[in-house]
Amino acid sequence: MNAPATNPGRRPASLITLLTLPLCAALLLVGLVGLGFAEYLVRQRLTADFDAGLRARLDFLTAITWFEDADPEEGHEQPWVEFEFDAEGAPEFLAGPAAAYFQLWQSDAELARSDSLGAGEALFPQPLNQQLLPLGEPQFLDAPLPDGRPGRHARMRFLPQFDDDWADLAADRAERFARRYPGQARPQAVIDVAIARGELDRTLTDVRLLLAGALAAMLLVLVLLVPPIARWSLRSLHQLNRRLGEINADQLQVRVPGEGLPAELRPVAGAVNGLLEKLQQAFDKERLFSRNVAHELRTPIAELRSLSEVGGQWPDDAQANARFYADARAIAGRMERAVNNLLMMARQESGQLPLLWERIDLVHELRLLLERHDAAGIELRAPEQLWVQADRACLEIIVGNLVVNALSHGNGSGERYLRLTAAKQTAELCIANPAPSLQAEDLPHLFDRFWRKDQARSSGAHVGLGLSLVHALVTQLGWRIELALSEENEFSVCVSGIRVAAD
Amino acid sequence: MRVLIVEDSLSLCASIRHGLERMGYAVDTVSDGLQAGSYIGSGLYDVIVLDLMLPGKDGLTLLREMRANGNQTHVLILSAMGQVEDRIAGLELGADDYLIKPFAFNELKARIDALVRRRYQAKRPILELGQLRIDTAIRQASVGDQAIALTAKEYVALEALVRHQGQVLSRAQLIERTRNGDSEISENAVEVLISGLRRKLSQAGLPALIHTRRGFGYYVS
Repeated sequence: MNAPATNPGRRPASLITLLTLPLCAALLLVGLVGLGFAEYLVRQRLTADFDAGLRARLDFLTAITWFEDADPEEGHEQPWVEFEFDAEGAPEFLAGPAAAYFQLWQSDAELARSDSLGAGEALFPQPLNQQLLPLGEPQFLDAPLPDGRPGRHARMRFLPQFDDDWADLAADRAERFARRYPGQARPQAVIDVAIARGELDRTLTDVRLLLAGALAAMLLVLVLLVPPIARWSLRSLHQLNRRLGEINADQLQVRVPGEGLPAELRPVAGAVNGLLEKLQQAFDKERLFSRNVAHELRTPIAELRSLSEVGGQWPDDAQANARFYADARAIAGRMERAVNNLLMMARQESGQLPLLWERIDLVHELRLLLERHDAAGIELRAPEQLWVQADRACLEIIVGNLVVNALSHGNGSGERYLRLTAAKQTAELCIANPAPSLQAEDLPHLFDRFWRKDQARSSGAHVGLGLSLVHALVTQLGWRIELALSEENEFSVCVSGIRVAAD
Repeated sequence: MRVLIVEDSLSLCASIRHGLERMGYAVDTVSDGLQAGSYIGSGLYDVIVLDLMLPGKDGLTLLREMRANGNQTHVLILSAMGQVEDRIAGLELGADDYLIKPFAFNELKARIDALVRRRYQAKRPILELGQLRIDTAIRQASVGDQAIALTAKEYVALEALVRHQGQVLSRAQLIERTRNGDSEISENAVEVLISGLRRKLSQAGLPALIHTRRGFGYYVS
C-alpha cells in the first residue's frame, strides 16, 4: 500500500511522539502544580508555626504592659502605662548576633525598646497608624532586621491591662476607670516584635529541594516509562498497520479481524473491511469487464482472421469465400455496435456526453425508430402526439436498444408492444416482449455490463451492453427505469419521469 | 485423420472446418455443449478442438467428464479466455494444448498435426515405409524425389494405412477417416478410393504396397 503523501522535507510525527509529548507535558504540569501546592501548604504551615512563636512573644510583652492609675505621690498625675520588662527574664532581646527585637509604642511615642535595638533604629518598616491596626490581631511581614539579617516582624495594637490598683476584682477595674475619668478613652499601645527568620528559610529551602528532587524523579520516570507504555498501548495499531501493509491488489479477499483489537480500533477495522469489500467488488467488476471486453473483441477478431486466412489460402473456392465475406460483414457490424456502445458508455461515464434538451414529438420519434429498426412486429400504443423535453441522440439510443432487445428475444411468438402514456407533467414509455427463458432472479443482472442470460455469450447479435447503456443514459437524463417480468413471462422495461413539454 | 470442432461461433466453425478439410482432415463441428458430449463419447476423433464458453455445457465440464470416462482423445482448447489461470485450469483438467483467440489458422493446423503425431507416437512429421515417404506437415507423399499427386481423401487413407502398418483397417474405419461432416461415403466409394490410390502408387513404382484382406479390409506390410 502506498504511504500517504507527506511533505518530503518534514518527517511526520509518530503516534508515540504525539502521545508521549503531551502526556509528559500534562503529567509534568500536574506534578508542578501538585508540588507547588505542596510547597505552598508546607510554607504556610511552617510560617504559621513561626508566626505562632512571634505571637507568643507579643503575648508575653503585652502581658507585662500595665495600665496604672494616677499616683501623684509617685509623680503620675494621670493614669499611665507601665512596661515591666526584665531583660534577664528574656535574654533573647539583649544585644547579640542572634538577638530578637521589640519596640513598644503609645500613640506616637515610644515607651520602650529592646536592648538589641540600637538608638535611632526602628523595627516595623511601615509607618505607625494605630487607627488602621485591628485590636488584638497581629500583622506579620518579612523585612530585614536592623542588623541586616532577614527577619520576620509582627505588630499588634492592644489595650494594656488594668493594674490591680484600680480594684481588687478585675471585673470592677474598667468600671472604676470610667467612673473616675468619665469621657476619657482607655489608652492603647502598639508592640512591634521582630526575630530572625533564618531557621524558617532554611527549613523552607530544604522542603523546596526535596520537592524539586521529587519533580526531577517524576520527570525521569515519565521519560523512561511513558514511551514504552505508549508503545505497548499502541501495539494493536502496529499490528493493524502490519496487517494492512500486507494487503495488496491480489489479496483483497483478506479481512482484518476485529477480535483482539481495542474498542477504538474496531470501527477502523470495520471501515477498512468495508473498503476492502468495495475495492474487491470494484476490482472484480473491472476484471470481469476487461475479461468480457477481451472476449467480445477477441472472438470476432478470431472469426475475421480465420475467415480471411482460410479464404485467402483457397481463393479458388468462390462459394465458400462468398459465405466467408457475408460472415465477415455480419461480424464487423456486431463489433461496430459493441465498440459504439463501449465508446458511448465511456463518454457518458467521463461526463463527456453533453445533453441537448429540445422539444420533441415522442410519438413521431417512436414511429421513425420502429421503422428504422424494421420493427413491424412491435405494436405502438400511443396517443396521436406527445411533446416531451428530451435529448434526441440519447432518446434514439435508449429506444433503439430497447426495440432491438424486444425484437431479438423470445421465440417469435407472443405480443410485443411499445406503450406511451402521459400524465399531466410526465410521460412513461414501456416496451414489452415475451421472454420464455428469462427468470425473476435474472432481473437484477440485466443492467450489468456484458451480462447475458446465455453465459456462453454465443448469441452473436448482442454483447450485453444495450441495457447497461440504456440505464446509464436514463439516469443521466434524470428519468427512471424499471424492469418487470410477469407470471406469463412477459418482460417489460418502463422508462418514466419523461418531462412533458409545455404547449 | 478426424477432428471434432466444438465451437459456438458458427462462422469460426465454418472457416476452420473449410481449411482443415482442404488440408485433408475429416472434420465434424458442433456448437452446443450438450450435443458435444455425444460426439466426444463416440471416440472417433484423433483431435478435439474445444471452446470453453459454450451454450448448454461449458468446455471445462466437457473436458472433465471425458477424462473421467477414460476418454484419452487429444484435446486442444481454443478460447478467448487467455489469462494464465484459464490456461492452467484447462491444462490441469487434461487438455493437451491451449490456443488463445485470435489465432493464425496455420498455427492451429500445426498444433493439430502435432497432436496427431503424439497420438501415433511419431516425433517427426515424416512417415517412411520403404521407398515411400509421407510428409504429414505439408500432406505430401513421395517416392524418392517424385511427388505423388493424391486427392485429400487418398492422402488421408494412405496416411492412415501407413500409420497402422501391419494392421487391417476396415472399410468403415477408412470411411470415418475420410468422411467430411455429414456427407455419406459408401463402401464402394472406399474401393474406388483404394483402387485409385493403388494406381497412383503403382505409377510411382510401388505396385504392391496396399494389400486386401478379404472380408476385413486393407493393410500395408
